[in-house]
Amino acid sequence: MNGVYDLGGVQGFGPIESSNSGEESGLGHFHEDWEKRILGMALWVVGSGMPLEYMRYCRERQFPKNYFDRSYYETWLYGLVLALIEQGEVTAEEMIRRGLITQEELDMAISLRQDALAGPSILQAREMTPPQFKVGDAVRTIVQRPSGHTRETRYSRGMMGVIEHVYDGNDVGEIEARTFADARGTSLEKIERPLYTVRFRGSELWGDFAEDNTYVNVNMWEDYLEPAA
Amino acid sequence: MRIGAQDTIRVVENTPKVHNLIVCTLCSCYPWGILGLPPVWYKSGPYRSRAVSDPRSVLAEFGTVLDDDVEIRVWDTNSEMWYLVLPERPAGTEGWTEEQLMELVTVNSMVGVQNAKNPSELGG
Repeated sequence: MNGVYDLGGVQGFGPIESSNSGEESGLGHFHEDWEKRILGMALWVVGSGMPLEYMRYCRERQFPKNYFDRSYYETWLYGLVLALIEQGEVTAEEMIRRGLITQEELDMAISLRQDALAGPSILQAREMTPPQFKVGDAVRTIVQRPSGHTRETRYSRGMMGVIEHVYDGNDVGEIEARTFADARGTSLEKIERPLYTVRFRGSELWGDFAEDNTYVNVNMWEDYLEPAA
Repeated sequence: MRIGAQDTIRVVENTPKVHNLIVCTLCSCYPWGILGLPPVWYKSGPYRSRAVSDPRSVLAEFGTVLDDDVEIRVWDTNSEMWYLVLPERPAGTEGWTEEQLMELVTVNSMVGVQNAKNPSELGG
């Protein structure tokens, strides 16, 4: 979805609190004790089979104001509640009654995903195919406006880049990394697709506003790519 | 990150001419398995928004100033392939043991916002 969580290149946040690692609180990286329970619950839910990509899509589907108002773990709690409602593990009625989600935000989140499931897919194939591109190939990323989960960042769409790496290994980690996040996150389907790192010049992404001698490497499934003209 | 499976991490090496920086603009993906939970600043808007557009000034906010002839490579962690920066070995550490070198390597140097400490920065 084209949500506000897609922050690459956004301006107006002010300085980085570089000294704020979170360790000063004495609770490790937590501000309050309840946050540890949320982390534990979320990890358990993922470990018991809820796809991580889908959990991200649940966290993404917030009203923009809420995304910025909620703290990090409040967002995790929201995503957990939405996932459990959507997957039928808890009732919407109970979560609303407990003040964990509003009817309005739930309606928005559910309809966004329903639109995505009813709409066109960007998948070029529904299974793994031999990689089309090799290191050094010039590629262009697709333009899209999906309602579903995507990991193609807005700042990198419609841009020219070069294949920097092809993830064609057959160890477990690389095979898992090829799971197409857009599908896994939206419909929960596990589909393996070729995966690459694409290298973009800073000037390609930001024009004259780029800093000198900077490059951004972003991973792209083949479904996000076309051969450069 | 796959619960119950190993993190898949690609290590990217800093050299005198190439400096790497890790970010997750979309959320907060981070090589948990090695570095533990990410710093609060890593998960927050200021860093996530500017690491990909203004890496030089982001590094400067951490006190890391690089010459313009040093190429900066920003890695946006948008898939289940995480990154770890191998910081440059500081000068004056010839013959140091692994345990001694470990004292110089910080979390920030493995995310890429800072270099490893110099021997002169060690306490004592």
